[in-house]
Amino acid sequence: MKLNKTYYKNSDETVYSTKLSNGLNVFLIPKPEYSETAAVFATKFGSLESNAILKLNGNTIKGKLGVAHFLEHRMFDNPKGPVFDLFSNLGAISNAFTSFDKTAYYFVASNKLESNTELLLDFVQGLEIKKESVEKEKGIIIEELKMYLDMPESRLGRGILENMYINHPIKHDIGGTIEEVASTSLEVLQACHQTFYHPNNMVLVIVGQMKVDSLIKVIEKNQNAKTLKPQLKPVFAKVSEPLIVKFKYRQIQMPISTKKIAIGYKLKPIDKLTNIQINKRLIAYSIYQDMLFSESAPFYQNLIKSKIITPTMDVSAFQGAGYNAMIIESEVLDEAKFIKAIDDQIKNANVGLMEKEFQIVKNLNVSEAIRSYESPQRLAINYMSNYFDGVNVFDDLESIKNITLKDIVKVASEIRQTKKSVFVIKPMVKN
Amino acid sequence: LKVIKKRLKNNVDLKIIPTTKFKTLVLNIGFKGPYKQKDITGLYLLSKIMADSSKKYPKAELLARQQDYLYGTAIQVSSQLVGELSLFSLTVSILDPKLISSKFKLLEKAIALIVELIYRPNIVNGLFDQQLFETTKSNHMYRLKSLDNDKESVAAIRMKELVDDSHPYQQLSLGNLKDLSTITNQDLIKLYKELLDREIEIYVLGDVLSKNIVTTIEKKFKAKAVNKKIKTIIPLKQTKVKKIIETRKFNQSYLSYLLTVNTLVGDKDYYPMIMFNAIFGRTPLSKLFRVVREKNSLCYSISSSYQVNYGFINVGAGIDAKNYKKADSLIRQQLTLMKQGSFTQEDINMNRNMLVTMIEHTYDQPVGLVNQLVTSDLIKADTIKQDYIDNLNKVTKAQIIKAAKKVEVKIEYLLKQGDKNETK
Repeated sequence: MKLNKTYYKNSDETVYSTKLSNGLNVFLIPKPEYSETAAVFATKFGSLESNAILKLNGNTIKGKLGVAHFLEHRMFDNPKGPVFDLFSNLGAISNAFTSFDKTAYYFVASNKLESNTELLLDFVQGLEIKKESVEKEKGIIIEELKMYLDMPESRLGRGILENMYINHPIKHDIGGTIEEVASTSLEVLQACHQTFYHPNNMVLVIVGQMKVDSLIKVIEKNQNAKTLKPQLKPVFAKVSEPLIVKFKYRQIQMPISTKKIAIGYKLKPIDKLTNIQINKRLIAYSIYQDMLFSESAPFYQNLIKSKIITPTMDVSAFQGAGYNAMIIESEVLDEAKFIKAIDDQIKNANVGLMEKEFQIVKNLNVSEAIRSYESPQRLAINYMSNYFDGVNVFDDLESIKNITLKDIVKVASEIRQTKKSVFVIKPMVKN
Repeated sequence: LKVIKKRLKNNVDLKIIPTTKFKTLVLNIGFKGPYKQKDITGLYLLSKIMADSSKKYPKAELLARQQDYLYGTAIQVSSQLVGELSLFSLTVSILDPKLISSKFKLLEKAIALIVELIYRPNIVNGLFDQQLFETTKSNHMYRLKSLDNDKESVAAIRMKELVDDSHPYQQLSLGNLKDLSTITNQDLIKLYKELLDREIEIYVLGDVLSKNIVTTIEKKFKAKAVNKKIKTIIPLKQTKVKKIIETRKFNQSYLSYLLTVNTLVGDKDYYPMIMFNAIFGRTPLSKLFRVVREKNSLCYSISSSYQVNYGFINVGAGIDAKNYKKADSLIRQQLTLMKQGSFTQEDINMNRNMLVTMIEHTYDQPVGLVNQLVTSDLIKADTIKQDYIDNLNKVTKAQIIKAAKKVEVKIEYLLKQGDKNETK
């Protein structure tokens, strides 16, 4: 097996990588001065794949909303005992998360790295659960969904996506709905595992204290010893998503003290770009947001001074297969003025003349990129997530350097042409 | 990891933690002093005002822009309460200058900015800029009101109110709406002046030894030589047993407890109590997590936390109201089982491993590490990682049982989901 070594001078990091014969891509990033190591083993399977039609033992099985998240929960039930315990026996802390398009399992350990790595591979690749265990988990997941229902921020994020998307599964909650969770079966979990947890669809990233040579041997030996079931090919219902939004404006009520608002811009998906192009675009969005809406933008501070918002505004952009959006969220004191101010800023800000702001925001982005390499856990998760998005985190610094004000002007004009949606949570009148 | 301690000629207590492992340098400047209850809200407001502007950067956007320009130099100003001590601090994280051009002089510029924020605040004619003061005050009002949106905050605040003893635990470092409404610009000026008369302790972490950091700090900061002992370790007394149920308009209920443990940091039972808390409810391997969540599916979130300098444990769980009786009896049952020694050596080992990994994790993060050292030092807990680990390793099962027997449920508070708000 050939281990490739790449040194990234800008960030002073070295990555060892290889593709094992079963298709698994492995990335090792040593940090000799750290005591801890973080490892993440992830699959490109998230809530967006919940609508897949699967075939298991000749039967057709329809996916369930929230099934990726359900499976993540249930992977922690292992015939050898609860997975948290198995890791803890080896001195590691483990956890997992499900996003729109990924499920990731990870641990942080300060010793017994090789045994912990084997445990991570084994528990994620083996699904041996019983029907009762599936039933039992439903109560826990339903309480989790109810917890989110009481969290205004979570409702706001959910609500704006429901507003913007008509057909795309991104309009659904990652955890699904209480009804769908309650009717999730063992079979659908098994089918998803056999389909999406194949090494071809997964990646392993390890960052921190390690001996590269012996670690990679352990990983290779572990993988070669496994006979995996053939990968099932899912069929996805074709989704066509128009560029218009479902609701231009919608509001709900919650027992909160101050009104909350989200404004979403529905951008064209950027599926057909090269890795470097995607990376550059994502950074261009981030710089655009910082220039126009961050704390260093007079625009933001004026909104606070004029009592239009409280200092809670946050702008984020995200993209993936078939979706791409920029969302502005805030607590708002004067809704109409806020919507108008955002409209005006997007329409009128002359980005092309903001050379000085552009250079300063570039400094900020350089530092954010470098700092994101600092924590083993954060780097492992970022590296994995970017890998699935077709991007290498260590290219960030190069991309930032190469970005010009023209790129930002392009982003600005693109956002100007998109359809907007507004979602508002109004305080309920108290009893 | 070693900490170099120096008492400088300008009376600053300096602690340097030299390391090359991070890409960040961290400076933590702590002003330590006593506080009066009526000053808490003002200290919090002051922290916001000082983090937002200065003489040279009178507008928030100008200061933020300077921070962006200094490669995202992050400055967090905070006002915390530890027992009878108020810790007002600036935590600054700076990109390690060796990662960018040395001509930029990042460290020098960042220190100049910190000095500007501390010694040249945005004061005009003896008062903080009036608009800044008004805006900060009104924003803080919204912040305090928003605590009502979150059931964990509501439960935490109600728990503080339910305690009989008058104790620093009852104070919220954010202050309260009542004090906020009467606070004046003059009050903040007075607090700012008192701040400059406090003891100063500065932590510096990172690759700084070659950078004349001692001379710079000696030149740029000045502190009064006060060495008052302020109590940070104060046991909370709660003799009455209480059970309170209140209803709020939420979709889920929140069940919480206050347990006195009669053990403080530094006591003989301190490490056994840390182990008790871990096995009882702190970790995902704990009894509460396994039994209430995993076995009985009654909740998603459940955990316990040990306030080591106040001597009590808080337990909290998000549940459905219909499961209240069952959850309550299971939680109490786990405590009884702990007292009876119904846990294994494996439980001890696993939970101990988890605590060790948690501390290693904290020590591998620059800001986390500095915060850990600052707090541990204040409450006289072990600051050397290996001491902490060695002490955990010495704890025996018999000691944990003995510790468990000191634990008593004193307050139970259920915030029940419902259609309307009812407070008893």
